[in-house]
Amino acid sequence: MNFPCSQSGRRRLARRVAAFMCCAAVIGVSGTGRAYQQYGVSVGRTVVKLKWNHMPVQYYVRNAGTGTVSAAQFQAAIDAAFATWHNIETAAVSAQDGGFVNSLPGNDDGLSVLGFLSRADEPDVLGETNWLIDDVTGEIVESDILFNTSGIAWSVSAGGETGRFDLQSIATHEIGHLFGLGHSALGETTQVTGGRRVDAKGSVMFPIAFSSGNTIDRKLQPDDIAGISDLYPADGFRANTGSVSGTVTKNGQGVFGAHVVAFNPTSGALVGNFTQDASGTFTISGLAPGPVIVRVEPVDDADLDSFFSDTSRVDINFRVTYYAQFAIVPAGGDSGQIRIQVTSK
Amino acid sequence: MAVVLGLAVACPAAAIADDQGRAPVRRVAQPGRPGSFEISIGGDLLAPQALGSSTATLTSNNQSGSAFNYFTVDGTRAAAPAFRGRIGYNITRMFTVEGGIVAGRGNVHGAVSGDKENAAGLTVAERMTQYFVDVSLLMHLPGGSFAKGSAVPFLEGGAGYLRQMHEGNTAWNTGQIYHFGGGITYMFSRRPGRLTGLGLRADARVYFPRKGYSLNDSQHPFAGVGAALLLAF
Repeated sequence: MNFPCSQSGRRRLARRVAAFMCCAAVIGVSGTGRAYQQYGVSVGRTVVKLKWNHMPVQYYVRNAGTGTVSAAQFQAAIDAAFATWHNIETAAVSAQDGGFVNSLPGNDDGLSVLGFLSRADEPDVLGETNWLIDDVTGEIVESDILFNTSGIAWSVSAGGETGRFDLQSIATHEIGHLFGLGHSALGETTQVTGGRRVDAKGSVMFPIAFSSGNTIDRKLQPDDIAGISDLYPADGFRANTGSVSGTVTKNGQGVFGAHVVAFNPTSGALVGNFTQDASGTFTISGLAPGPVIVRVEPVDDADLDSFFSDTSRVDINFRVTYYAQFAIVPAGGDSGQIRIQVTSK
Repeated sequence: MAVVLGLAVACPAAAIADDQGRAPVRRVAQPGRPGSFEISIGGDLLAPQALGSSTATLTSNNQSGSAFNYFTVDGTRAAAPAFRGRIGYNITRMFTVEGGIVAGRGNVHGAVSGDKENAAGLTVAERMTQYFVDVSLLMHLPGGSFAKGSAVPFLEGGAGYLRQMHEGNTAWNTGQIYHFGGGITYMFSRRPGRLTGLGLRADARVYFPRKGYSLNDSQHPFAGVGAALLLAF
Protein backbone atom coordinates (compact mmCIF):
# COMPACT_ATOMS: atom_id res chain seq x y z
CA MET A 1 0.00 0.00 0.00
CA ASN A 2 1.33 3.36 -0.92
CA PHE A 3 0.97 6.02 1.69
CA PRO A 4 2.63 9.11 0.38
CA CYS A 5 2.35 12.51 1.84
CA SER A 6 0.45 14.92 -0.29
CA GLN A 7 0.64 18.64 -0.39
CA SER A 8 -1.84 20.75 -2.20
CA GLY A 9 -2.38 24.39 -2.74
CA ARG A 10 -5.19 26.74 -3.41
CA ARG A 11 -5.25 30.04 -5.13
CA ARG A 12 -7.08 32.83 -3.52
CA LEU A 13 -6.95 36.47 -4.36
CA ALA A 14 -7.34 38.27 -1.12
CA ARG A 15 -5.38 41.46 -1.08
CA ARG A 16 -1.72 40.60 -1.32
CA VAL A 17 -2.26 37.01 -0.46
CA ALA A 18 -2.40 34.17 -2.89
CA ALA A 19 -2.36 30.48 -2.56
CA PHE A 20 0.60 28.47 -3.63
CA MET A 21 0.54 25.28 -5.60
CA CYS A 22 3.17 23.65 -3.53
CA CYS A 23 3.33 20.25 -5.10
CA ALA A 24 3.98 21.81 -8.47
CA ALA A 25 6.70 24.01 -7.22
CA VAL A 26 9.35 21.92 -5.64
CA ILE A 27 12.34 24.12 -5.72
CA GLY A 28 14.52 23.47 -8.66
CA VAL A 29 11.79 23.86 -11.22
CA SER A 30 12.92 27.37 -11.86
CA GLY A 31 16.56 26.53 -11.40
CA THR A 32 17.06 29.19 -8.84
CA GLY A 33 16.48 27.20 -5.72
CA ARG A 34 19.17 26.47 -3.23
CA ALA A 35 18.29 23.46 -1.18
CA TYR A 36 16.05 20.69 -2.28
CA GLN A 37 14.49 20.35 1.11
CA GLN A 38 12.99 23.75 0.66
CA TYR A 39 10.38 25.21 -1.63
CA GLY A 40 10.72 28.22 -3.84
CA VAL A 41 8.06 30.81 -4.38
CA SER A 42 7.99 32.97 -7.46
CA VAL A 43 7.72 36.58 -6.44
CA GLY A 44 7.79 38.67 -9.55
CA ARG A 45 10.78 37.51 -11.51
CA THR A 46 12.63 36.10 -8.58
CA VAL A 47 12.22 32.96 -6.56
CA VAL A 48 12.41 33.22 -2.81
CA LYS A 49 12.35 30.52 -0.20
CA LEU A 50 8.95 29.62 1.10
CA LYS A 51 9.07 30.34 4.82
CA TRP A 52 7.52 32.08 7.74
CA ASN A 53 8.93 35.48 8.49
CA HIS A 54 7.72 35.60 12.07
CA MET A 55 8.04 33.20 14.95
CA PRO A 56 6.41 31.62 16.82
CA VAL A 57 3.96 30.17 14.36
CA GLN A 58 0.53 30.19 15.93
CA TYR A 59 -1.40 27.01 15.24
CA TYR A 60 -4.77 25.66 16.23
CA VAL A 61 -6.12 22.19 16.66
CA ARG A 62 -9.44 21.04 15.33
CA ASN A 63 -11.65 20.00 18.21
CA ALA A 64 -12.45 16.57 16.85
CA GLY A 65 -11.04 13.11 17.28
CA THR A 66 -11.51 9.80 15.59
CA GLY A 67 -12.63 6.47 16.91
CA THR A 68 -9.18 5.71 18.26
CA VAL A 69 -7.76 9.14 19.07
CA SER A 70 -9.54 11.77 21.13
CA ALA A 71 -9.21 15.47 20.41
CA ALA A 72 -7.08 15.89 23.51
CA GLN A 73 -4.79 13.06 22.44
CA PHE A 74 -4.60 14.55 19.00
CA GLN A 75 -3.57 17.90 20.45
CA ALA A 76 -0.88 16.29 22.63
CA ALA A 77 0.60 14.47 19.65
CA ILE A 78 0.62 17.65 17.57
CA ASP A 79 2.27 19.62 20.36
CA ALA A 80 4.93 16.93 20.69
CA ALA A 81 5.60 16.99 16.96
CA PHE A 82 6.01 20.76 16.97
CA ALA A 83 8.33 20.48 19.95
CA THR A 84 10.53 18.10 17.98
CA TRP A 85 11.25 20.83 15.46
CA HIS A 86 11.41 23.56 18.09
CA ASN A 87 14.07 21.64 20.02
CA ILE A 88 16.61 21.76 17.20
CA GLU A 89 19.35 23.96 18.59
CA THR A 90 20.63 25.04 15.20
CA ALA A 91 17.24 26.19 13.88
CA ALA A 92 15.28 29.24 14.96
CA VAL A 93 11.79 27.77 14.69
CA SER A 94 9.06 27.87 17.27
CA ALA A 95 5.32 27.43 17.41
CA GLN A 96 2.55 28.12 19.83
CA ASP A 97 -0.60 26.14 20.38
CA GLY A 98 -3.57 28.48 20.17
CA GLY A 99 -5.97 25.83 21.42
CA PHE A 100 -9.00 24.11 19.95
CA VAL A 101 -11.09 25.50 17.15
CA ASN A 102 -13.96 24.11 15.16
CA SER A 103 -12.51 25.26 11.83
CA LEU A 104 -11.59 22.69 9.24
CA PRO A 105 -8.08 22.45 7.90
CA GLY A 106 -8.06 23.90 4.42
CA ASN A 107 -10.26 26.90 5.10
CA ASP A 108 -8.75 30.27 4.25
CA ASP A 109 -9.62 31.78 7.59
CA GLY A 110 -6.27 33.15 8.68
CA LEU A 111 -5.83 30.31 11.16
CA SER A 112 -3.31 27.53 10.76
CA VAL A 113 -5.43 24.54 11.67
CA LEU A 114 -4.41 20.92 12.09
CA GLY A 115 -7.09 18.30 12.27
CA PHE A 116 -8.59 15.04 11.19
CA LEU A 117 -10.55 15.12 7.99
CA SER A 118 -11.92 12.43 5.73
CA ARG A 119 -10.52 12.53 2.22
CA ALA A 120 -12.13 9.59 0.51
CA ASP A 121 -10.84 10.86 -2.80
CA GLU A 122 -7.25 10.35 -1.61
CA PRO A 123 -7.35 7.03 0.18
CA ASP A 124 -3.59 6.57 0.00
CA VAL A 125 -2.78 9.94 1.49
CA LEU A 126 -2.05 10.04 5.21
CA GLY A 127 -1.53 13.76 5.60
CA GLU A 128 -1.73 16.88 3.53
CA THR A 129 -0.25 20.30 4.13
CA ASN A 130 -1.13 23.48 2.31
CA TRP A 131 -0.12 27.06 2.67
CA LEU A 132 -1.51 30.48 2.05
CA ILE A 133 1.24 32.85 1.06
CA ASP A 134 1.75 36.50 0.52
CA ASP A 135 2.56 36.64 -3.15
CA VAL A 136 4.54 39.84 -2.76
CA THR A 137 6.95 38.69 -0.10
CA GLY A 138 6.65 34.92 -0.40
CA GLU A 139 5.90 34.75 3.30
CA ILE A 140 3.67 31.98 4.58
CA VAL A 141 0.68 33.52 6.30
CA GLU A 142 -1.31 30.38 6.96
CA SER A 143 -0.73 26.67 6.76
CA ASP A 144 -3.21 23.91 7.41
CA ILE A 145 -2.62 20.21 7.86
CA LEU A 146 -5.20 17.49 7.52
CA PHE A 147 -4.82 13.91 8.68
CA ASN A 148 -6.91 11.62 6.55
CA THR A 149 -9.42 9.43 8.36
CA SER A 150 -10.78 7.74 5.25
CA GLY A 151 -9.87 4.12 5.75
CA ILE A 152 -6.85 5.00 7.89
CA ALA A 153 -6.55 4.10 11.55
CA TRP A 154 -4.48 6.33 13.81
CA SER A 155 -2.59 5.76 17.02
CA VAL A 156 -0.97 7.88 19.70
CA SER A 157 0.45 4.95 21.62
CA ALA A 158 4.00 5.58 22.76
CA GLY A 159 5.24 2.34 21.26
CA GLY A 160 2.98 2.31 18.22
CA GLU A 161 0.13 -0.04 17.43
CA THR A 162 0.02 -2.65 14.74
CA GLY A 163 -2.25 -1.63 11.91
CA ARG A 164 -2.43 2.00 12.98
CA PHE A 165 -0.32 4.86 11.80
CA ASP A 166 1.51 6.85 14.40
CA LEU A 167 0.00 10.31 14.48
CA GLN A 168 3.04 12.02 15.97
CA SER A 169 5.34 10.60 13.30
CA ILE A 170 3.12 11.73 10.45
CA ALA A 171 2.59 15.09 12.13
CA THR A 172 6.34 15.57 12.41
CA HIS A 173 6.63 15.10 8.65
CA GLU A 174 3.72 17.41 7.85
CA ILE A 175 4.96 20.09 10.22
CA GLY A 176 8.22 20.04 8.30
CA HIS A 177 6.15 21.04 5.28
CA LEU A 178 4.32 23.64 7.34
CA PHE A 179 7.65 25.29 8.06
CA GLY A 180 8.56 25.20 4.36
CA LEU A 181 10.53 22.01 3.87
CA GLY A 182 10.01 19.88 0.81
CA HIS A 183 10.61 16.20 0.35
CA SER A 184 13.90 14.44 0.78
CA ALA A 185 14.99 11.64 -1.52
CA LEU A 186 17.00 9.82 1.14
CA GLY A 187 15.15 6.56 1.08
CA GLU A 188 14.70 3.20 -0.54
CA THR A 189 11.42 1.73 -1.68
CA THR A 190 10.20 -1.51 -3.19
CA GLN A 191 7.32 -1.91 -5.57
CA VAL A 192 4.54 -3.94 -3.96
CA THR A 193 0.96 -4.62 -4.85
CA GLY A 194 -0.93 -1.37 -4.73
CA GLY A 195 2.04 0.91 -4.50
CA ARG A 196 5.48 1.20 -3.02
CA ARG A 197 6.76 0.18 0.36
CA VAL A 198 9.58 1.94 2.18
CA ASP A 199 12.54 -0.29 2.91
CA ALA A 200 14.53 2.36 4.66
CA LYS A 201 14.91 6.10 4.79
CA GLY A 202 17.30 8.70 6.04
CA SER A 203 14.91 11.57 6.52
CA VAL A 204 11.55 12.17 8.14
CA MET A 205 10.83 14.27 5.05
CA PHE A 206 11.00 11.28 2.71
CA PRO A 207 7.64 11.32 0.89
CA ILE A 208 6.47 7.84 1.86
CA ALA A 209 5.73 6.91 5.44
CA PHE A 210 7.04 3.98 7.39
CA SER A 211 4.60 1.13 7.89
CA SER A 212 1.76 1.34 10.37
CA GLY A 213 2.83 0.77 13.94
CA ASN A 214 6.22 2.39 13.36
CA THR A 215 7.10 5.41 15.52
CA ILE A 216 10.64 6.07 14.31
CA ASP A 217 9.70 9.22 12.43
CA ARG A 218 9.07 10.99 15.69
CA LYS A 219 12.80 11.63 15.66
CA LEU A 220 14.42 13.88 13.08
CA GLN A 221 17.45 12.82 11.12
CA PRO A 222 20.51 14.86 10.07
CA ASP A 223 19.01 15.58 6.67
CA ASP A 224 15.91 17.11 8.27
CA ILE A 225 17.96 19.11 10.74
CA ALA A 226 20.25 20.46 8.04
CA GLY A 227 17.27 21.49 5.94
CA ILE A 228 15.33 23.34 8.64
CA SER A 229 18.50 24.92 10.03
CA ASP A 230 19.44 26.19 6.59
CA LEU A 231 15.97 27.67 6.19
CA TYR A 232 15.80 29.19 9.68
CA PRO A 233 19.40 29.41 10.88
CA ALA A 234 19.95 29.96 14.57
CA ASP A 235 22.74 32.26 15.68
CA GLY A 236 26.07 30.76 14.77
CA PHE A 237 24.70 28.13 12.42
CA ARG A 238 26.09 29.71 9.27
CA ALA A 239 29.48 30.28 10.88
CA ASN A 240 29.72 26.78 12.26
CA THR A 241 28.61 24.82 9.22
CA GLY A 242 29.53 24.80 5.57
CA SER A 243 28.44 23.48 2.24
CA VAL A 244 29.49 21.38 -0.70
CA SER A 245 28.67 22.64 -4.14
CA GLY A 246 29.49 21.65 -7.66
CA THR A 247 28.16 20.25 -10.88
CA VAL A 248 27.12 16.86 -12.18
CA THR A 249 27.69 16.36 -15.89
CA LYS A 250 27.25 13.59 -18.42
CA ASN A 251 28.88 13.74 -21.83
CA GLY A 252 29.75 17.32 -21.12
CA GLN A 253 26.18 18.36 -20.40
CA GLY A 254 24.68 19.19 -17.04
CA VAL A 255 22.45 16.59 -15.40
CA PHE A 256 19.17 17.86 -14.02
CA GLY A 257 17.55 16.18 -11.04
CA ALA A 258 20.47 14.02 -9.91
CA HIS A 259 20.30 13.10 -6.24
CA VAL A 260 23.53 14.15 -4.55
CA VAL A 261 24.36 13.00 -1.03
CA ALA A 262 27.14 14.15 1.27
CA PHE A 263 28.27 11.72 3.95
CA ASN A 264 30.36 12.83 6.88
CA PRO A 265 32.05 9.61 8.01
CA THR A 266 32.95 11.00 11.41
CA SER A 267 29.44 12.02 12.41
CA GLY A 268 27.61 9.54 10.21
CA ALA A 269 25.39 12.32 8.90
CA LEU A 270 23.84 11.89 5.46
CA VAL A 271 22.48 15.05 3.86
CA GLY A 272 21.13 15.21 0.33
CA ASN A 273 20.10 17.55 -2.39
CA PHE A 274 19.43 17.64 -6.11
CA THR A 275 21.10 19.18 -9.10
CA GLN A 276 18.73 21.98 -9.80
CA ASP A 277 19.30 23.34 -13.26
CA ALA A 278 20.33 22.43 -16.75
CA SER A 279 23.99 22.91 -15.95
CA GLY A 280 23.78 20.32 -13.19
CA THR A 281 24.67 22.54 -10.25
CA PHE A 282 23.99 21.56 -6.68
CA THR A 283 24.61 22.85 -3.18
CA ILE A 284 24.30 20.87 0.03
CA SER A 285 24.23 23.20 3.00
CA GLY A 286 24.24 22.80 6.74
CA LEU A 287 27.14 20.36 6.88
CA ALA A 288 29.54 19.97 9.76
CA PRO A 289 33.08 21.05 8.79
CA GLY A 290 35.44 18.33 7.65
CA PRO A 291 35.86 15.80 4.88
CA VAL A 292 32.75 14.32 3.27
CA ILE A 293 32.16 11.67 0.66
CA VAL A 294 29.88 12.78 -2.15
CA ARG A 295 27.72 10.27 -4.00
CA VAL A 296 25.43 10.86 -6.96
CA GLU A 297 22.56 8.65 -8.05
CA PRO A 298 19.46 8.97 -10.19
CA VAL A 299 16.23 9.73 -8.40
CA ASP A 300 13.96 6.75 -7.98
CA ASP A 301 11.82 6.91 -11.08
CA ALA A 302 8.75 5.95 -9.09
CA ASP A 303 9.05 9.03 -6.94
CA LEU A 304 9.87 11.69 -9.50
CA ASP A 305 6.67 13.63 -9.07
CA SER A 306 7.32 13.86 -5.35
CA PHE A 307 10.23 16.13 -6.12
CA PHE A 308 9.77 17.71 -9.53
CA SER A 309 6.87 19.14 -11.41
CA ASP A 310 8.49 18.80 -14.81
CA THR A 311 9.66 15.23 -14.58
CA SER A 312 10.53 15.11 -18.27
CA ARG A 313 13.66 17.10 -17.56
CA VAL A 314 14.93 14.74 -14.89
CA ASP A 315 17.78 12.52 -16.07
CA ILE A 316 17.68 9.09 -14.48
CA ASN A 317 19.89 7.35 -17.00
CA PHE A 318 23.27 7.32 -15.34
CA ARG A 319 25.29 5.17 -13.01
CA VAL A 320 25.87 5.76 -9.34
CA THR A 321 29.07 7.77 -9.10
CA TYR A 322 31.26 8.95 -6.27
CA TYR A 323 33.37 12.08 -6.28
CA ALA A 324 36.91 10.77 -6.44
CA GLN A 325 38.23 12.93 -3.61
CA PHE A 326 37.15 13.77 -0.14
CA ALA A 327 35.33 17.07 -0.43
CA ILE A 328 36.40 19.35 2.39
CA VAL A 329 33.65 21.37 4.05
CA PRO A 330 34.96 24.50 5.76
CA ALA A 331 33.25 26.19 8.67
CA GLY A 332 31.33 29.17 7.37
CA GLY A 333 32.20 28.50 3.76
CA ASP A 334 31.91 26.26 0.77
CA SER A 335 34.03 23.40 -0.52
CA GLY A 336 34.56 25.14 -3.80
CA GLN A 337 33.04 23.80 -6.97
CA ILE A 338 33.55 20.08 -7.33
CA ARG A 339 32.89 18.38 -10.64
CA ILE A 340 31.39 14.94 -10.89
CA GLN A 341 31.15 13.23 -14.24
CA VAL A 342 28.63 10.44 -14.58
CA THR A 343 28.14 7.93 -17.36
CA SER A 344 25.03 6.43 -18.89
CA LYS A 345 23.81 3.07 -17.66
CA MET B 1 78.24 21.87 41.78
CA ALA B 2 75.20 23.59 40.42
CA VAL B 3 76.89 26.98 40.60
CA VAL B 4 79.97 25.74 38.83
CA LEU B 5 77.96 24.15 36.08
CA GLY B 6 75.85 27.25 35.76
CA LEU B 7 78.97 29.25 35.11
CA ALA B 8 80.13 26.67 32.69
CA VAL B 9 76.99 27.06 30.66
CA ALA B 10 77.27 30.79 30.67
CA CYS B 11 81.00 30.77 29.94
CA PRO B 12 81.72 27.38 28.52
CA ALA B 13 85.21 28.26 27.34
CA ALA B 14 86.40 29.70 30.58
CA ALA B 15 89.31 28.00 32.22
CA ILE B 16 89.11 27.93 35.94
CA ALA B 17 92.38 27.74 37.86
CA ASP B 18 92.68 27.33 41.50
CA ASP B 19 94.66 29.80 43.51
CA GLN B 20 97.44 27.40 44.38
CA GLY B 21 99.11 27.30 40.98
CA ARG B 22 97.96 23.90 39.88
CA ALA B 23 97.18 23.29 36.26
CA PRO B 24 93.83 24.76 35.21
CA VAL B 25 90.92 22.32 34.88
CA ARG B 26 88.62 22.68 31.92
CA ARG B 27 84.96 22.29 32.81
CA VAL B 28 82.71 22.32 29.81
CA ALA B 29 79.09 21.53 29.25
CA GLN B 30 79.08 18.19 27.56
CA PRO B 31 76.09 16.41 26.15
CA GLY B 32 74.07 14.86 28.90
CA ARG B 33 75.69 16.93 31.59
CA PRO B 34 73.26 18.77 33.81
CA GLY B 35 72.65 22.30 32.69
CA SER B 36 73.50 21.73 29.06
CA PHE B 37 71.13 22.10 26.14
CA GLU B 38 70.58 20.01 23.09
CA ILE B 39 68.97 20.85 19.78
CA SER B 40 68.04 18.22 17.27
CA ILE B 41 66.74 18.75 13.77
CA GLY B 42 65.81 15.95 11.47
CA GLY B 43 63.10 13.92 9.86
CA ASP B 44 60.56 11.34 10.89
CA LEU B 45 58.66 8.73 9.03
CA LEU B 46 55.20 8.36 10.45
CA ALA B 47 53.90 4.87 9.83
CA PRO B 48 50.45 4.32 8.29
CA GLN B 49 47.59 4.87 10.67
CA ALA B 50 44.21 3.21 10.66
CA LEU B 51 41.45 5.78 10.76
CA GLY B 52 38.57 3.43 11.38
CA SER B 53 35.53 2.52 9.42
CA SER B 54 32.22 4.25 8.99
CA THR B 55 29.03 3.11 7.30
CA ALA B 56 26.45 5.44 5.87
CA THR B 57 23.10 4.06 6.90
CA LEU B 58 19.42 4.65 6.47
CA THR B 59 16.84 3.59 9.02
CA SER B 60 15.06 0.38 8.16
CA ASN B 61 11.31 0.11 8.10
CA ASN B 62 10.89 -1.80 11.31
CA GLN B 63 10.15 -0.74 14.84
CA SER B 64 13.74 -1.24 15.95
CA GLY B 65 14.97 0.99 13.15
CA SER B 66 17.87 -1.24 12.32
CA ALA B 67 20.55 0.08 10.03
CA PHE B 68 20.19 -0.20 6.27
CA ASN B 69 23.64 0.09 4.77
CA TYR B 70 24.13 2.72 2.10
CA PHE B 71 27.88 2.28 1.71
CA THR B 72 30.95 1.83 3.88
CA VAL B 73 34.24 3.68 3.97
CA ASP B 74 37.45 2.43 5.58
CA GLY B 75 40.02 5.09 6.34
CA THR B 76 43.79 5.06 6.54
CA ARG B 77 46.50 7.65 6.61
CA ALA B 78 49.39 6.58 4.45
CA ALA B 79 52.96 6.66 5.69
CA ALA B 80 54.12 10.23 5.78
CA PRO B 81 57.45 12.01 6.11
CA ALA B 82 57.67 14.71 8.71
CA PHE B 83 60.02 17.39 9.89
CA ARG B 84 61.12 17.17 13.50
CA GLY B 85 62.79 19.82 15.62
CA ARG B 86 63.45 19.61 19.34
CA ILE B 87 65.24 21.46 22.07
CA GLY B 88 66.13 19.80 25.33
CA TYR B 89 67.53 20.78 28.68
CA ASN B 90 69.47 18.27 30.71
CA ILE B 91 68.13 18.45 34.22
CA THR B 92 70.40 15.75 35.50
CA ARG B 93 72.70 13.25 33.87
CA MET B 94 69.80 10.91 33.60
CA PHE B 95 66.88 13.15 32.75
CA THR B 96 66.26 15.63 29.98
CA VAL B 97 63.15 17.65 29.43
CA GLU B 98 62.54 18.70 25.90
CA GLY B 99 59.98 20.33 23.71
CA GLY B 100 59.53 20.16 20.02
CA ILE B 101 57.44 19.97 16.95
CA VAL B 102 56.71 17.28 14.41
CA ALA B 103 55.09 18.48 11.20
CA GLY B 104 54.24 16.45 8.15
CA ARG B 105 51.83 15.93 5.33
CA GLY B 106 50.33 12.66 4.20
CA ASN B 107 47.53 11.21 2.15
CA VAL B 108 44.32 10.13 3.79
CA HIS B 109 42.50 7.41 1.90
CA GLY B 110 38.91 6.31 2.18
CA ALA B 111 38.11 2.98 0.58
CA VAL B 112 34.44 3.00 -0.37
CA SER B 113 32.68 -0.36 -0.65
CA GLY B 114 29.34 -2.05 -0.15
CA ASP B 115 27.31 0.44 -2.13
CA LYS B 116 23.60 -0.31 -1.93
CA GLU B 117 23.34 -0.06 -5.71
CA ASN B 118 26.42 -2.23 -6.18
CA ALA B 119 28.42 0.65 -7.54
CA ALA B 120 32.05 -0.17 -8.07
CA GLY B 121 34.26 0.46 -5.09
CA LEU B 122 36.82 3.21 -5.19
CA THR B 123 39.26 4.99 -2.96
CA VAL B 124 38.84 8.68 -2.29
CA ALA B 125 41.71 10.71 -0.93
CA GLU B 126 42.88 14.00 0.46
CA ARG B 127 46.18 15.36 1.73
CA MET B 128 46.26 16.15 5.40
CA THR B 129 48.88 18.25 7.13
CA GLN B 130 49.41 17.56 10.77
CA TYR B 131 51.69 18.76 13.48
CA PHE B 132 52.24 18.03 17.12
CA VAL B 133 53.83 20.37 19.61
CA ASP B 134 54.85 18.34 22.60
CA VAL B 135 56.86 18.15 25.77
CA SER B 136 58.82 15.01 26.59
CA LEU B 137 60.84 13.61 29.41
CA LEU B 138 63.86 11.57 28.37
CA MET B 139 65.53 9.13 30.67
CA HIS B 140 69.10 8.39 29.57
CA LEU B 141 70.49 4.97 30.28
CA PRO B 142 74.24 5.48 30.62
CA GLY B 143 74.58 1.93 31.86
CA GLY B 144 73.65 0.77 28.41
CA SER B 145 76.12 2.95 26.57
CA PHE B 146 78.43 1.52 23.98
CA ALA B 147 80.89 2.66 21.34
CA LYS B 148 83.21 3.85 24.09
CA GLY B 149 80.43 5.77 25.69
CA SER B 150 79.55 7.77 22.60
CA ALA B 151 76.22 6.01 22.14
CA VAL B 152 73.74 6.25 24.94
CA PRO B 153 70.23 4.79 24.79
CA PHE B 154 67.26 6.60 26.23
CA LEU B 155 63.59 6.16 26.91
CA GLU B 156 61.09 8.92 26.39
CA GLY B 157 57.47 9.78 26.98
CA GLY B 158 55.45 12.90 26.56
CA ALA B 159 52.28 14.66 25.57
CA GLY B 160 51.36 17.45 23.29
CA TYR B 161 48.93 19.36 21.16
CA LEU B 162 47.74 17.84 17.90
CA ARG B 163 46.44 19.80 14.94
CA GLN B 164 45.42 18.24 11.66
CA MET B 165 44.59 20.41 8.68
CA HIS B 166 42.56 18.88 5.92
CA GLU B 167 43.38 19.62 2.31
CA GLY B 168 43.07 23.29 1.55
CA ASN B 169 43.55 24.12 5.23
CA THR B 170 39.91 25.11 5.56
CA ALA B 171 38.89 22.45 8.06
CA TRP B 172 40.83 20.91 10.89
CA ASN B 173 40.83 18.68 13.91
CA THR B 174 42.58 19.46 17.15
CA GLY B 175 43.33 17.19 20.05
CA GLN B 176 46.09 15.75 22.14
CA ILE B 177 48.78 13.29 21.34
CA TYR B 178 50.78 11.14 23.69
CA HIS B 179 53.92 9.26 22.84
CA PHE B 180 56.25 6.70 24.29
CA GLY B 181 59.44 5.38 22.83
CA GLY B 182 63.14 5.28 22.97
CA GLY B 183 66.30 5.73 20.99
CA ILE B 184 69.99 6.33 20.96
CA THR B 185 72.16 9.41 20.88
CA TYR B 186 75.56 9.04 19.31
CA MET B 187 78.06 11.83 19.74
CA PHE B 188 80.73 12.24 17.11
CA SER B 189 82.72 14.77 19.00
CA ARG B 190 82.93 16.53 22.27
CA ARG B 191 84.97 19.59 22.69
CA PRO B 192 85.07 22.70 24.72
CA GLY B 193 83.45 25.79 23.34
CA ARG B 194 80.01 27.09 22.73
CA LEU B 195 79.21 24.06 20.67
CA THR B 196 80.24 21.22 22.85
CA GLY B 197 78.95 18.23 20.99
CA LEU B 198 77.81 17.05 17.62
CA GLY B 199 76.02 13.82 17.07
CA LEU B 200 73.08 11.90 15.77
CA ARG B 201 69.91 10.93 17.43
CA ALA B 202 67.65 8.13 16.35
CA ASP B 203 64.45 7.20 18.01
CA ALA B 204 61.24 5.28 17.60
CA ARG B 205 57.94 6.30 19.08
CA VAL B 206 54.43 5.05 19.41
CA TYR B 207 51.87 7.83 19.22
CA PHE B 208 48.46 7.74 20.85
CA PRO B 209 46.25 10.52 19.50
CA ARG B 210 43.16 11.72 21.26
CA LYS B 211 40.47 13.56 19.30
CA GLY B 212 42.51 13.32 16.14
CA TYR B 213 40.80 12.79 12.82
CA SER B 214 39.18 9.43 12.34
CA LEU B 215 36.21 8.11 10.46
CA ASN B 216 34.34 6.90 13.48
CA ASP B 217 35.75 8.80 16.46
CA SER B 218 37.93 5.88 17.42
CA GLN B 219 41.57 6.71 17.97
CA HIS B 220 44.24 4.44 16.60
CA PRO B 221 47.89 4.53 17.63
CA PHE B 222 50.65 4.70 15.07
CA ALA B 223 54.40 4.42 15.05
CA GLY B 224 57.09 6.80 13.99
CA VAL B 225 60.81 6.52 13.50
CA GLY B 226 63.20 9.37 13.05
CA ALA B 227 66.76 10.53 12.85
CA ALA B 228 68.14 13.93 13.62
CA LEU B 229 71.34 15.88 13.83
CA LEU B 230 72.09 16.64 17.44
CA LEU B 231 73.86 19.75 18.64
CA ALA B 232 74.81 20.16 22.27
CA PHE B 233 75.83 23.39 23.93
